[in-house]
Amino acid sequence: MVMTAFGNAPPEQRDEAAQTELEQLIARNADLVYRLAYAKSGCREDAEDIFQQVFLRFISRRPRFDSPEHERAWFLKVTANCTKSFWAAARRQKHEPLSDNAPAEEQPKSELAEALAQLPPDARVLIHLFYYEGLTAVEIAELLSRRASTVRMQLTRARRRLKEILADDFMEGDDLDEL
Amino acid sequence: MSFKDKYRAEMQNVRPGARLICATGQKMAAKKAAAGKTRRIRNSALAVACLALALGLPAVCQTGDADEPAAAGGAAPTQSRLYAPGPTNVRFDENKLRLPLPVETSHPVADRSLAADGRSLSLTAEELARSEVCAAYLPPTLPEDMRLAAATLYLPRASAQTPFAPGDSLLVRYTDGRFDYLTVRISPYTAADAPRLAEADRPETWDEALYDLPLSASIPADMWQQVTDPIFPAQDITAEIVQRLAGESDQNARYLRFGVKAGDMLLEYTAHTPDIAGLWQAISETPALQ
Repeated sequence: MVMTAFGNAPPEQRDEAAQTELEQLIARNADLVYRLAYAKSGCREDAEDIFQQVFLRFISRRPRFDSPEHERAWFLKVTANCTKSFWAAARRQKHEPLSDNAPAEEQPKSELAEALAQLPPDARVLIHLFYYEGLTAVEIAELLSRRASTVRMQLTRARRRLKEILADDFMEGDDLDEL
Repeated sequence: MSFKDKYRAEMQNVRPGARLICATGQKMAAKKAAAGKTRRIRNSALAVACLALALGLPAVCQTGDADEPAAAGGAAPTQSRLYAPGPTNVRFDENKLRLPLPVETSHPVADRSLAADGRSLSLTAEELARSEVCAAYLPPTLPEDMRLAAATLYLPRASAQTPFAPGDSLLVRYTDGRFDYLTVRISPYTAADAPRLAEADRPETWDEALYDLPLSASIPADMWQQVTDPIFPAQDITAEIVQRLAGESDQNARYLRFGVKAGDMLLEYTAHTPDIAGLWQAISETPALQ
């Protein structure tokens, strides 16, 4: 549980305990949140912004978790929602043209990353939840408030598109029976 | 190597930096502290509001009358006052709320020191009856089934020594225990009441029924206070006027509201009753109106 009872402790101890709990909470969920944010945005800067939004939203909402699974599901769902709103806000912003001195991309992307970048952001989220987080189509549907059949269809399309991009390298034995 | 493995291997390298985690932790702690501060302020404000409500509640709840002007220090009635539960819903310890000294009958209404906190003072039937001046302004008989429900003395300026100074008032409420009531408010007549003074022989100054709807369009602005809330000199008020004020209605009970200027005092009547004749009899027998 995130917020444990230390109500009778002195204020200093309570502050310390609360700080420790926050650190533990971040440590438990940082990778989960950051990876999903990165999967959708494909950009570390955006992923960092979303990452902070998610954890600050935790402070605003102060959810109570019944189990570790509940906590994980909450962070996945909120991250998915934050990425959605982040992208909506980003689309509304005017983009300044890059100057000549703008830094180049830090690292060259892998072939897989290049292929994923060609997918729609929503499809990347599905791919991530399915292949990395190991959720089923039904669980993803529940998480994203969609119908399971819709999730299956979108996953199928995403895989088909990846197969076209990656050609021979694409997944042997990774058929959609798992869905 | 399957796509799944490739993807997992790819994403394993995607991790938040230590600086990001540290900065996020600091922001969370700051936001949590700010939220705690806001919550403490909100709780404090709530506690203060509860305390204020608890202190102000007796005057409101014992009268249960939203028509009465502000009881505590002349302040305007707030939403919490207007929606405070009525006397039938609230049970107070009378001994704790009632001020300890008995009412002084030598005072025109009551001993001002009893309401030294500038708030209201509830009077019992006996206390009310002991005050000769009060009895002078109240009807000796009542319409059928009417009984005294509450009598409350409002002394917003408790420091003043003049008895019944402007702003002071005594509100007496009679009820049949169901829907009908008669409320008499006794207060000093002031210059502010002058625009409401109607002329009995000119019905256009007090009979709303003579005007078309909407009244705001048909009643002349300079006569608005007279027509909508008239005051009659004691010698001018008649049974016919009261009957006309009550109007004609298919419903049993009539609602009427008017004032009577009796010397330096103003008696304001608000009634809801089918017995207009009994109402007039009660009013007309008031000693101060004889």
